[in-house]
Amino acid sequence: MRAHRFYSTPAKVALWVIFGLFSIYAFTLIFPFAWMLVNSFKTNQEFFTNIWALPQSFSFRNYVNVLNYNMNTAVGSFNIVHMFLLSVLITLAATVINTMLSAMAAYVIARYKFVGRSLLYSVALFTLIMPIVGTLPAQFRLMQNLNLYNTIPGILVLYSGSFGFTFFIMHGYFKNISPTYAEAAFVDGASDFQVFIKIMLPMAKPIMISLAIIYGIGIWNDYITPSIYLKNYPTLAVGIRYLTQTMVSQGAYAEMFATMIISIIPILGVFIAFRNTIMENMVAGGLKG
Amino acid sequence: MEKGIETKKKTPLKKKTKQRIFIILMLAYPVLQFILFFGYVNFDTILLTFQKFSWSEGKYIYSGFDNYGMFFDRVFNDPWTRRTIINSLFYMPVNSLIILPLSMAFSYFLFKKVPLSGFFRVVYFLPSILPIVVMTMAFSFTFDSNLGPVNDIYKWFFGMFDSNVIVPSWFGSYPTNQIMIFVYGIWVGLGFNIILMTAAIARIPEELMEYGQLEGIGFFREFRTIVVPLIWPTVVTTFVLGMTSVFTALLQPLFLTPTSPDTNTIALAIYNSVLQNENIAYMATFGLILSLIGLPIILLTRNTLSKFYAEVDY
Repeated sequence: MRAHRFYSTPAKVALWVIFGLFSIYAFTLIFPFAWMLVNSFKTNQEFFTNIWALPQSFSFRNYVNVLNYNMNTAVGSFNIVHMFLLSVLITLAATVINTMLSAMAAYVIARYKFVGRSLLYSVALFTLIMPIVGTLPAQFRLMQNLNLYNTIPGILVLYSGSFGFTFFIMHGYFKNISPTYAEAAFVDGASDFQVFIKIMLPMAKPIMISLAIIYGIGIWNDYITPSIYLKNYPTLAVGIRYLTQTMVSQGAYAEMFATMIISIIPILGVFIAFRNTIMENMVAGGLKG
Repeated sequence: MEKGIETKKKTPLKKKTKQRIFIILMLAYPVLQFILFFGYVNFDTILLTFQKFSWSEGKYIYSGFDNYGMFFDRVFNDPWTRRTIINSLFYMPVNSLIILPLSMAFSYFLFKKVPLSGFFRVVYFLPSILPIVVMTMAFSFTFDSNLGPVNDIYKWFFGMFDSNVIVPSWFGSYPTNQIMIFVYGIWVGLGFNIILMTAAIARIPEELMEYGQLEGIGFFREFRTIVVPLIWPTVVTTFVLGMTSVFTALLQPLFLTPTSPDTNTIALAIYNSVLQNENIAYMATFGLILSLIGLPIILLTRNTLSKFYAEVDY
């Protein structure tokens, strides 16, 4: 506990005023979701009659009805379960690929001397600091020319850029690992691959998992990339927008609220399960640099 | 590993070759991906600005400085292009001059442990983890002009003063809808920046804060003389991120005002052209010219701001 006893009376008043402001802001963040949760259990009739009343009976029918809404693309019809599974598949694949590749690049650049090493690091750092915009058209043209447009492998290639945030954190980590473990293994005749896979990766596992969770949340929520490059396979982030728009146009508000609640449950679950890891690492010491 | 790994059991030469193969294998994919999707894409962006799509030939052909000419023509003569740029420019003060200072103050007091600060910290995380699709829908539905809860609250509150109160149509017309986009930006951005700032403040050594308290300095002085200088690198980064939002803001107008062309931004214009595969060569030019103007300003601001306080390692 921080020393509250040092606070003077005006300071205490100020703190309570601040507390009031904090409460109001927190309320505005929670309220829309609480309101939707309540309304997701009503019938549409009940909702139109009174948007503030509690549901007359408790039923999950709206949540079941959500399954009846589909998004049709050139390759088939997708309901929310399909979108969910597609998002799980893409998020898991992209996260594993990205985290592994970033760790590989970070390890080699941090621990081996070779020509071009510092150039690689500087260029990567430059791209992280420098906001470069307007390259979307050229990226689109490249994806078309590589026949990766509108394919799942294509989006995984886009997500596999290995010189981002994960790379820099892993680089710092591998740089600071004591060389003794690796040296001992090399003396015993281990190869470079064995040292990396059997010694370095297990040591880096906790930090890699933290970074993977944070990267995974970003992929799960990403709208821009799949909306351009994966038009035929709607992920949850893209699909729920279409589904809820359809529901609103048909006056199915209760189903829309159920859809919104369904779409935040997985991410809230992950957040609650890994709360401390996420809160500690999301910003890695407050974006220093 | 950098020194002293070359063991005497094997010949150094063989060891070196093996090491080289290892390095190449480990870096092959990351470097190739980077060269293609960063190097080539940037290079091709420049090429694209000198091209146009020829429908008769079905491919891109050289078009000289046509795209550049069109850009300057539109900036001077096309009100829609001008509004797109002006809307985007407003994201900078909203992010860097409103959200950033507010979030610094919030974070400082969150750190001071007002009651329930642990709870607030978790709640303020919501905007960082929930999909923006959901956040924007929650926001716009809250202000829905027929069924949104804000309407009732507005009528109840202002009804006390004026019995004929009319609720504004929040997303109906420009500039109200543009202002609502910024209100949304503050609502979400505050939570996001508070997370960044509290992490930075938490890194300040406790002795420094305790020293100030023993000296009996007030909140404002402690904030100004201890906290701000020590979290300055984070402040600069966030300020610069706010500036880059001029070029990156796109999902807020797309989701909050899907039918209004008035709230367009630079990034949204580029996104829409790519989505419809229309005029992408011109849009590449549009983005490139604006980046060439914007980047030096951003870099200069970054360097100037960084000099305010000497960076301290702690």
